[in-house]
Amino acid sequence: MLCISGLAFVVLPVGAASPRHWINPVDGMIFVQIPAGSCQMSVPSESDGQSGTLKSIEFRQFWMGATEVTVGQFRKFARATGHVTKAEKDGNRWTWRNPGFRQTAKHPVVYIHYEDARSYARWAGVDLPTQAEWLYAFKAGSTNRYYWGEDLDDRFAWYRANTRGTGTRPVAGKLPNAWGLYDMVGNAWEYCSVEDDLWRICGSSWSRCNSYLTRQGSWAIDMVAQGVEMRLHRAEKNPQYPPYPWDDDRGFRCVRREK
Amino acid sequence: MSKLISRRRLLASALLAAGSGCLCHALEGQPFSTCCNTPELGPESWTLTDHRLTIDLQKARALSRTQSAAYVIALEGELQLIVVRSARKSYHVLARLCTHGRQVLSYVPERHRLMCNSFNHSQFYLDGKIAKGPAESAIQAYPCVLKGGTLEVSI
Repeated sequence: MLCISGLAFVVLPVGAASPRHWINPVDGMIFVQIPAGSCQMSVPSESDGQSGTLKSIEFRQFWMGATEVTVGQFRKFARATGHVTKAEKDGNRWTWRNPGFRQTAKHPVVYIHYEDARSYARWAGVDLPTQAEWLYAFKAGSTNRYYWGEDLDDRFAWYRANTRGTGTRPVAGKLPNAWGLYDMVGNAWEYCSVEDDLWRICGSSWSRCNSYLTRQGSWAIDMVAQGVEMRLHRAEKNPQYPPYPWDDDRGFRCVRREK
Repeated sequence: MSKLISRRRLLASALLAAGSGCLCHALEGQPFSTCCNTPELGPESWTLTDHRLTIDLQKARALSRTQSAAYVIALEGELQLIVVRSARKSYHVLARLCTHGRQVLSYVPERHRLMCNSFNHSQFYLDGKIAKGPAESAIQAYPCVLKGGTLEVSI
């Protein structure tokens, strides 16, 4: 194993495995074992889909990518399959190949549509996490607002103040959570499946100001925390304000479920 | 005894004054812009007449460094500007609200552009043109001229 910069970024020989790690031979992603357990989160009511009820949700053991899918991994996928992202097909000025700021192969891939993420997951033989899986893995057994504590901590997350609004950073550059997952807060937002083709994003990103003065003169605070609220959301099929299909701060990570 | 009390009172008063000064400085706010927050120029540093805004750069402490920015909010909020000092003698004055959702913009010096503070973080070049959406309209840029120690902006 190799520890880089004192962080627990584990580099294992390809094909090697340990009880808590699995390396996907397709893309080289290191998956960490997410233990079976339960977690409390707010579940939307059946009636209005808005109000939430705190419920304990049970999880079977599954595996999750230790990092967000990187530019290098996505490039391998694109070369292997000829996949063209929706942003590229749409003629968007910025795409995962040129997001408008400098990236290396180790940065999280961005300008990814949800369908691009699904295509990647299919190619890699894995899947995208559900909201509940993502939040459970994010918490890693912690009862704090963040997995490290109550307050935002630069040792664990990339967000606007410490990236100075300049873009993503290489994955695994911050400390992981207790289950070995990196960048669960910040760097890139991550797609989570809701139902059918509906999705949400979780985790916040490099572009997110944690606090700022609004035009109304009030302060918006704890904005990074909003991206990791322990709350499941419904996604509407035809929302009044459809979410934007991609952005320079939106990527994904994958899961593998036990059969 | 009366002299001792007077010295104590004098010392206490001096300490109180010093503390108040420190507190005032703290309440004055951060003097320079960050990627999420931008200070506002006080009214003592600018004048607005007809269609001209004149900024006294000697008094505009928030613009004393290059790669800094400050807001000017005038006419009871009808006029909202962001002034960017991108180089020693290079200034840009633009509308401070994003054209997408009308949230405030901040200056990101490393990228030489303005970035909306909100979730969608639209970005604009210093001429007002869109660098990244979802904003679909450019922000208004105002002509400005540096004249000695003042910046004159045509509104």
